Amino acid sequence: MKKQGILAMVLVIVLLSFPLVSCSNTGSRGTEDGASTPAEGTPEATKPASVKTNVFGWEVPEKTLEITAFNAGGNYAPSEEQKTGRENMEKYILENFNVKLTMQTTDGDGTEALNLALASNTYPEIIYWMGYNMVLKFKEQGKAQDLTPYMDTIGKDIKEKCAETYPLLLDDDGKLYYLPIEQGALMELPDYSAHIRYDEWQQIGSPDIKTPDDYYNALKKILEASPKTPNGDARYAMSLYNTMDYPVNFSGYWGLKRGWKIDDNGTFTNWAFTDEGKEMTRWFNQIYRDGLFDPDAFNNTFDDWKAKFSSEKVAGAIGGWWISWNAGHEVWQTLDPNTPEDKRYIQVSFKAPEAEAAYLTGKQKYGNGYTIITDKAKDVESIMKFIDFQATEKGLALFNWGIPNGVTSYKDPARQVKEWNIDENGNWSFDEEAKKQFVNETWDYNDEAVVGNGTYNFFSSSNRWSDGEYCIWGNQMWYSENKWKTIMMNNMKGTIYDATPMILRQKDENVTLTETAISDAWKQGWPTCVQSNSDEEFEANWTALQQAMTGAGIETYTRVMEENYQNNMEKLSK
Amino acid sequence: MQRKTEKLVPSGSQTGFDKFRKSLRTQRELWIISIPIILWVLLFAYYPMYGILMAFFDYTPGKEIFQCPFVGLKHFKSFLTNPAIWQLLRNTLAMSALSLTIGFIAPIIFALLLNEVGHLKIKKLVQTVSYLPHFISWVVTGSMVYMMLSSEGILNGMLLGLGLTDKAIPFLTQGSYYWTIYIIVNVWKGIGWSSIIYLSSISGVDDELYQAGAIDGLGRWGMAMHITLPSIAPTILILWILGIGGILNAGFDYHLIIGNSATQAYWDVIDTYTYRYGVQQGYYSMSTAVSLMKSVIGFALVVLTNWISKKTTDMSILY
Amino acid sequence: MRKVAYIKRSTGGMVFDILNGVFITIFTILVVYPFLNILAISFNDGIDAVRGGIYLWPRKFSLLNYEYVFSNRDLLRGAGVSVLRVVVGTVTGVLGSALLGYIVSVRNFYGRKFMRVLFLITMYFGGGLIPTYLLMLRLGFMNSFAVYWVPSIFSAFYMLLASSYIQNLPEALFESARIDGSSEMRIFFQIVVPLSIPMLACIAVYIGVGQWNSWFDVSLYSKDGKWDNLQIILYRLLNQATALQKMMEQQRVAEKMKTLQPQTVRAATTIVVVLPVIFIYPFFQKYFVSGITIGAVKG
Repeated sequence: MKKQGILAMVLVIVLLSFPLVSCSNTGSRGTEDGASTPAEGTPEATKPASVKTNVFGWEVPEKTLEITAFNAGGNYAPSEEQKTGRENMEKYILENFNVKLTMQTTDGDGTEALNLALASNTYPEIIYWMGYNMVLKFKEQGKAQDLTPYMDTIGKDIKEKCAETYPLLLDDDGKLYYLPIEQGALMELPDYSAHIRYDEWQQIGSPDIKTPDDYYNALKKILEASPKTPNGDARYAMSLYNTMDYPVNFSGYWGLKRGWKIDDNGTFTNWAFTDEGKEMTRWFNQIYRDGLFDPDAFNNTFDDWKAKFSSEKVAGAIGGWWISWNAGHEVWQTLDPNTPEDKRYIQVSFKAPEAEAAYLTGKQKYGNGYTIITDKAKDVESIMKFIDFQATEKGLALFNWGIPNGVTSYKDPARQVKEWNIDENGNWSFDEEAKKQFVNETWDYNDEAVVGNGTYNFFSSSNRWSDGEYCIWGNQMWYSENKWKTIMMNNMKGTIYDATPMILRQKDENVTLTETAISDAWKQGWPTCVQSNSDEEFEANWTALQQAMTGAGIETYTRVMEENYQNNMEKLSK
Repeated sequence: MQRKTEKLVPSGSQTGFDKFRKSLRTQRELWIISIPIILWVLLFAYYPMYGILMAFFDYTPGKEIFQCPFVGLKHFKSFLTNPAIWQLLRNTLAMSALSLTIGFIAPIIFALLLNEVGHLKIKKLVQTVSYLPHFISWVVTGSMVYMMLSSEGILNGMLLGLGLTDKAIPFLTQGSYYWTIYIIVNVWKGIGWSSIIYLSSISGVDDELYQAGAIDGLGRWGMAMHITLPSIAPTILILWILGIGGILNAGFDYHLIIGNSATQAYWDVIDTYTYRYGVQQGYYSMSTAVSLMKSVIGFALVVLTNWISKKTTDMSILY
Repeated sequence: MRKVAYIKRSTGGMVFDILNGVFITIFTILVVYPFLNILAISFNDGIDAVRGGIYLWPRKFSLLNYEYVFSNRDLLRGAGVSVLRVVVGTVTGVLGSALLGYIVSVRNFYGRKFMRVLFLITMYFGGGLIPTYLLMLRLGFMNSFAVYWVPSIFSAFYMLLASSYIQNLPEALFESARIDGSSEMRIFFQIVVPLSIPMLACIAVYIGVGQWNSWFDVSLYSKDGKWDNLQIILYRLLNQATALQKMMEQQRVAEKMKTLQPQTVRAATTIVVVLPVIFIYPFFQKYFVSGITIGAVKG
């Protein structure tokens, strides 16, 4: 008896000393991790000596934890590299974590597949990449597990990463039934911007662009200098593509937030009923009346727009921050390696003179998709432990930068693809070669997929990490080392704000129908305004737009938005 | 089609049930074959029809239909009293009218014309090639339409080049062109495919009829009008009657891809509306209600048209 | 063409022939051109094609698109499944609908109208996606091959087509066979089928192509990918772009755009899926283009 008591004491001491050992070897980074397993030191921790902790600091369970997850993102169409990456990740997690991951997918629409799964009662332990309404459906039928009890214990890393947004994730009873994916935001990374070509802008004298009129005048000067493309086609000042909600996003230049004017009392006014919204529409209309607006602007798919843009038929652009790079120099430099370095677009920002700021990018921190643990899960605790690991920095690294230390490339078996490295003591660092390629924009995104990143992310945080340098997006670090990223960050400063309390997530049937009707109304009415041929026509079309919006129910919808905003602000202030 | 002939079984004195039992005896083999078929259709087609009940409840997937709140005719009312309904009906009927006239006749004419081509090899080649558009997905068709009709597209290029117009015509962004383009693209896509059935009917026409016609002095036009066309008339009638039943279907993928916000007032039809407001939001009750309305109207039209056809031309699909 | 033997040539006829020829030629161009355009794009380099402007000839030749399509590990298996679907589905569907069409054409069959109405209703009324899905689930058709052909053996539409054709066959043939003591199935296989070849060939083409092209049932019922066919592979490629449109967060969209396959790959996949049909089709075509004579079978 006494011998066994001493043996047990020795074991406990040995087990307790493990986290101390790994914590003291800091190396480059890696002090912060949620690796200390909560089971240590508790009476239940009389485990046999075979309990391992892997290099990531996670306690590997004895019995293989089997998790089947349904990826409800829909339209699942992986490339060969992505298929390989997923297999690699599954193998790696099984070997290192003793967790067997299986993914169910759907080729069609994710929501439809989820509805079928609900109706037929066939769904696995985890469903991820869900939309909020589907989460509510599952919750209402008792099919989503209540995760609140775990959030201060096993799931504390998740709660910590959600930081100040956490209260907004809870429902009205203060309970949490889901976990967010890509929660948070990089507050310095813009979503939307206007674009101008660097060399052309320099040619006209690099004028300051402070207001929308400055921007348009700059475009006009550029067109005067080179009115035709190298092929001899006519050039336009502006074109659009149909997957962008232009009036909602671009009323931001006139100071509106996501298409709403919010005053200090929390009263909302929709852009179609504000002077700012009208000014914005007038601005586009002016381009149209000058004949510099692409006649197919409201007809273009993104591919159509890209074809025009990469043929240099459009001088300016408004849309996502990346569109002018994707359709611009990335095409030109691939087709002709001798393309001059300055022949590429930069992002610019401007604001209407009376506007407070150019509220272009309203970041929402709720996340881009949600994960639930369903009622079919038998071991919720173990699953939560696994997901909590994904919230630690090593977990974020593993699931968003992929498998460390090198994976064989798909196209070139001699090459090893990796974004980061970790040694057997748990010290990790970002791979120097990878970093160079990201900074120089030579990173191969297709090949990257073999490291299996982004496949089984049940939780992730988009925020910058505690050290202020790293984040989950490989290409959003070290801006200062890349000339063009620096320009973008400098130009777009001040255009990004936190729109999280504004976002309306909970929608019942009436609200959804009203939303669709309003969307129908302005999607038809706004192009007509922009394409008016005279001031009288413009006024008539603008009034028609307002009438259509009113008929669609904008009043009720505005009240709903206000109420939602107020609720959220209250939740935050608690 | 069935012309009336005298019944071989004496009628009048026997009741319906008696006739049925007699038929079970005398036409036993036909019944032996029919019964499994009836069971098959009951299982695969009729059993799932309980889903129609969704239209009368506020159905949520995951619950049984009867566990959901009963709402009676709410979904029907909300759809029919929707202010957009007139535009939807107008668009739907306009485009399906075009399909039932121009779109219907085109493959017939094509089949007749192709039948007149002397060279067998050319005939076969053209026929094979003619249905290629059927295989091109709507997505790819959409890019093609864009390539042809956008302001920088081929057609505008030709018109500008020939001096027929001084500014590009906004074919794709002006609603008044929409229906015309719709029927042209649909004819292009479907003409070869739909003509297959007519060509096969034409080739089933007994050669002796043509010989007899030649003896009677019919020329090519006469043969086409008095022999070929009447011989395929039954097929034409069936397809047209069935087509009438689909009068409330007026394209779907086409509009989602080729339609845009500038032309929406012309392309929004019942199906696209239901998709936006029903299916995409997961409101199965609403889409089931609309679907039920379409079914009832469509079926009623088929029965009505068939009855008219029986009265006037003695041809029917039901007898 | 058989008619030529009996008809005198006339000037009216010659004019018509010329006009017909012109019309057919224009028509052929309009129909073939888009196809040649897709073919050209499929042989063009992906990035170069982004700029548009490719019409009949690739501007920058490249086989990479086809390489990408054929590098798909599941392609060969998918092709096999597609072929199997076409063969099994066509044989069962044609025979099923033809048999049904025959039964509802028998002149004094008591159940004739009943069967017709029974099937006609199914053309317009249906329970929708969820009940059908649940039925297939309960029948054990998930991840099975049976789900592709068993629910389509008998079709109301083809029943009507077949029966309209069979009704025009001479009744005397059937009567005399019945008097000779022949069973209905024998009449069906030995008289009805040979005489209905043009119609059966047409139905075979419609069903066969339908089986070749279908992808929606694959996406619903082939969950573990075992019974994926060629068309679903194409559908996935075409849908990479659709998935993108639903994403709002710009950083995600930006990342995904970098790995999106260009439209040239989509063009190549379209060609790969269509070509087999074009090659097989002439075998069926001869049955309803050159036609047969009833008289030949009579003997």
